[in-house]
Amino acid sequence: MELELVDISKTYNNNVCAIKSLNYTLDKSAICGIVGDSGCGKTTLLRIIAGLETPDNGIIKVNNNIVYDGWINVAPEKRQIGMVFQGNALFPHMTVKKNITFGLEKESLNSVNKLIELFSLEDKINRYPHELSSGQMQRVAIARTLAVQPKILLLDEPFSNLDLIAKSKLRTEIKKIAKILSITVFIVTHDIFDALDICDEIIFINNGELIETCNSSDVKNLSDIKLKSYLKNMTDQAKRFISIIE
Amino acid sequence: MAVSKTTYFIKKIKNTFNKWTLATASIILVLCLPLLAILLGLLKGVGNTWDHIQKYLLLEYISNSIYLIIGTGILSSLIGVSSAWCVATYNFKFRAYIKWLLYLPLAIPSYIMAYAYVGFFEFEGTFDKITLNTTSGLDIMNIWGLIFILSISLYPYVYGSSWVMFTSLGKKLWESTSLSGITQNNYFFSIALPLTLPAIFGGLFLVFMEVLNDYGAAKYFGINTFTTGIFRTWTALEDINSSIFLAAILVVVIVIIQMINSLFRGKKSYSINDISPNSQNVRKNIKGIHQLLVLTICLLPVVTGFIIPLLQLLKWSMLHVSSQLDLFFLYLSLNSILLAFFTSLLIILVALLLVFLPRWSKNTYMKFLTNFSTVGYSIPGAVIGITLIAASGYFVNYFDYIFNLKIGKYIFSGLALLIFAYLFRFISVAYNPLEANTLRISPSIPESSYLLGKSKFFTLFKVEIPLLKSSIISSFLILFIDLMKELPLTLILKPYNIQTLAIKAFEYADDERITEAALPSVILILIITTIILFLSKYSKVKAY
Repeated sequence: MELELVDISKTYNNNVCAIKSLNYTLDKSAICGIVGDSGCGKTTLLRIIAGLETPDNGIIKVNNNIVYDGWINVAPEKRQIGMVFQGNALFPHMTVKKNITFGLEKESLNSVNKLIELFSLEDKINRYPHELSSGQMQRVAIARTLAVQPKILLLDEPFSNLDLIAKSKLRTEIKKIAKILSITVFIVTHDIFDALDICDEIIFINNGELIETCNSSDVKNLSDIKLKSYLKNMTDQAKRFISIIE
Repeated sequence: MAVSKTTYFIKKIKNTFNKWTLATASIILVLCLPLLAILLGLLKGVGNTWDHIQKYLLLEYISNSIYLIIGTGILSSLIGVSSAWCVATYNFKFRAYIKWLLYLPLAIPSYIMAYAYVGFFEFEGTFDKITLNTTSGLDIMNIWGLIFILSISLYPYVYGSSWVMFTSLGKKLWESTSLSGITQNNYFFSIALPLTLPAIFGGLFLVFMEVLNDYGAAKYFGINTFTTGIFRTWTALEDINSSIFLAAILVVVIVIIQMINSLFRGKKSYSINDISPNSQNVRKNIKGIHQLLVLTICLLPVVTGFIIPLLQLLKWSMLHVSSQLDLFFLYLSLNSILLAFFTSLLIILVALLLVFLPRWSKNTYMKFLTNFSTVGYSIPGAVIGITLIAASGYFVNYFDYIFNLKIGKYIFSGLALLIFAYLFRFISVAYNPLEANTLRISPSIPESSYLLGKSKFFTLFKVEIPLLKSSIISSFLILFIDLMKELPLTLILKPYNIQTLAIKAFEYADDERITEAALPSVILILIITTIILFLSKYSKVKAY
């Protein structure tokens, strides 16, 4: 699945510039990590790709089809892009099964059993979201998004509220599912180790600007001074990462 | 460069003004028509009786309205705040029932309360008999009597808002202040009351609006207020222009009161950080004389505001029940219920559209403009009614003159004009709570639905409305009560063949057939009481 972002900019009403002339192309099905500090524009970028925010400028193409260019603005429900929000946004008045089958037509209801099995949710299908743990809720949210077979899956901080065991389990599941479904996945995270573990490609964003793109296997060989100075100012985790690559 | 800038702005306009913006703007425009009509009425100037009104009546309208606002404001605050403080702070016998019984005076429209009390205090009336004919009755048909009637009828607005605030002040606040040696009385005056003032003013604002809206009670007592003056100028003086001009002055006064209220609330807005059930007030157990005192404070408003007028009306209705209670009364009750039911449904539907369409349009101006379409509750029914009659008159004449179409009979003989007026006046009763509760739904919940391929309307019906269910039901019930009680608008705009319980009660009382007004009043009160009790039970179940 190819995604092309051309000269994307977004400024909010209070004159806060969230994204500055961002250009990026992903021309294969892969897991791509978007890494940066809180408030750097990562979530805004995901929301722009999903169609939930309108950029001030730029073009978005999916498989060479324009989904946004100012004249054309394909509605979120028609972009075939799935997104799992930070805090999962499950429908609180519906059971797990109803949440997962929400986006499906009646005739395709049988296909969800495979997903329920894949995410080990068989014994949870009649429970309500508030009866689940954070990890289980996150798995339900991902299963619900995948049920409608999106072309691109966007995950906003999927590991943020999870303990270490749940985090590790979810990382493995996402990798497995991306491989089985050959789907393009974008993961927003502020934790560079999550990105290194799971992603094929990593984008570094600072103050709405894309400052570096690289394969996760090449990240240790980075010599870009700008990126290193940026990473030095990042979180403690990033500082640990810098000390490893230096 | 110039071309690209132009293209940028055209793209921006295209994205800002989408189909949802257009739909929102259309609804707002329709709902603002009465406001526009009032403004146009102002521009049109006064009629030929204005000099007479200005010279002999205007001062009386203004002074009486001010006396009523101040008097009712003070008395209803005293009753509402003291009973709310007792219910929120003390544990006493029957507290669980009394806290809901204190709302019951809302079931009796103030004009019906006025009829009942005049009968209660008249010569040879119930009060005279209780005092063994020693008093020769009490004449309450003066401004002080009207202040008493309006206060015991309207104090629940102050009680409700201050009770919620007193309850949520929290035990931590009381514990931390009591540790510094502050007594309960000092705590009330120095901590609780200042923190609750914005809520009290919120309730008082509703009381002021209801006082200005009152027509039936003031007319029955013979007190000339702005609202009775507007009616009188229109009906007795037959000067609709001066009537609209008076209405416009009243609207300006209301806007000023509203601005003072928001200024005051804006400066004194406090938020309670912890609203979990564990953090709520710990009530003090009281017994003996203290309990008796608290019971008196809490039961006196219920007895005066509900039990006495209801008993008086029941006594009167017994006199005519055999002759009055026939199929016509069943028809009258059904008429009132059906009109209130379907209008409430329509208002809820339009309020939902007004909440969601601006969100879908993502246009910040639409959100701002929505505020104008929800000001109807602050404008008295009489003002809206007369303005709509005048505006529709111009509209009908215009159609006749330009297109030679006679549409008058369709506009004035049907229910459309009345229902539109209800919609304009009561939309905020549904809009405000729905808007506030929608803000509590995380935006990512409907967005998840869109990204699962579902349309905005599908998401509204399958996700957002189920999450707003309790708020929709309570708004519907409050609307139903308001519409069942409504008098001035219905009186002006109802078609000749439509009757409601409220109108029938008013017509009997207006013809000095006060005992016959009792039966429709009792039926009306019983219907509304049932809904209030259901509402209290429903909110108790939902308060988890």
